[in-house]
Amino acid sequence: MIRPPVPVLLFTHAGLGNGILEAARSILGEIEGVDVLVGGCGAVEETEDRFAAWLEDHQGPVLVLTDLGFGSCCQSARRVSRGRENVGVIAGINLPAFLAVFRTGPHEDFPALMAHLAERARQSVEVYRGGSPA
Amino acid sequence: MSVVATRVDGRLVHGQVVVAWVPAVRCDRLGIADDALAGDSWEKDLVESASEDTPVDVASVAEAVSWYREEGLPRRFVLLRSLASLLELVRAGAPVPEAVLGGIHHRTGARRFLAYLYLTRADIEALRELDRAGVRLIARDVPGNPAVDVNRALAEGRLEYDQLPAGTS
Repeated sequence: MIRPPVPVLLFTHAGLGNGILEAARSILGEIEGVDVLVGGCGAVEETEDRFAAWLEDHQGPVLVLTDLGFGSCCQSARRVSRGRENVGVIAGINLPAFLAVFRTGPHEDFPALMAHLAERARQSVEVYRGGSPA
Repeated sequence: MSVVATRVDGRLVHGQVVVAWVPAVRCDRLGIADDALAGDSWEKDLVESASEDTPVDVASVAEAVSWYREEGLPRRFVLLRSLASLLELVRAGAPVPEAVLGGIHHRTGARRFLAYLYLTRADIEALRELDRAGVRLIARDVPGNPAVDVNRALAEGRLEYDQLPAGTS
């Protein structure tokens, strides 16, 4: 069983969050400490209430990983966590970035962990042409 | 008129709007007509950051009437949060020829007309008044999906509140 350094919520459209979690389990084995919240459909207020309840259940630093920075999941995450410095929201999540959560070493503080993960996410996009790095 | 499209969407600016609607209507500015947003600088910043490369103007519904009297550029795509806001806009004198309804989701007292369109009794009354005012009403969540003729649904009695199924989102 593997756990992230802080509780993680995959807050994404449709089946993306569960898909990322399932793919990660196929690579890492059983994972705990990660929850999924589906947004982008239904009433915004209902989704935000569910997110607020999740935050209430997870005091201390937490990571919220969302897909589209301009999407309603990210907007809801930002709106509900407004003013809460121990809630980190990272948009643009993909499988390499999610896996990086489990591959971080110890960090001095939560902002450093956030910065590290964001950098890993940016570096995860690679381009090949004709089978070789472009 | 510089307004190229008018849409009612409870989420205002979000993925469907940025990725699908903005290129479909070929707008070069978003105009959000919303009294609450116009008075909240934090929420305004949030919406502006969500629009990617398309500049955003935020105004109260009353102020937004002037967008419908502009000629030429910019090509503005107007977004409203509710049917009540659309009705207020039309009552205030905005010449709105057509409005696209999408993303009006379930809340207390709303009944399901389409998967993305839940209507309260007041919403249906607003639709009737908009219909009488000559506004063409189309339900459509994304440009690639079929449009539903709401004026026709009203005329054919398919939008009677008591006959719509209750349901949750």
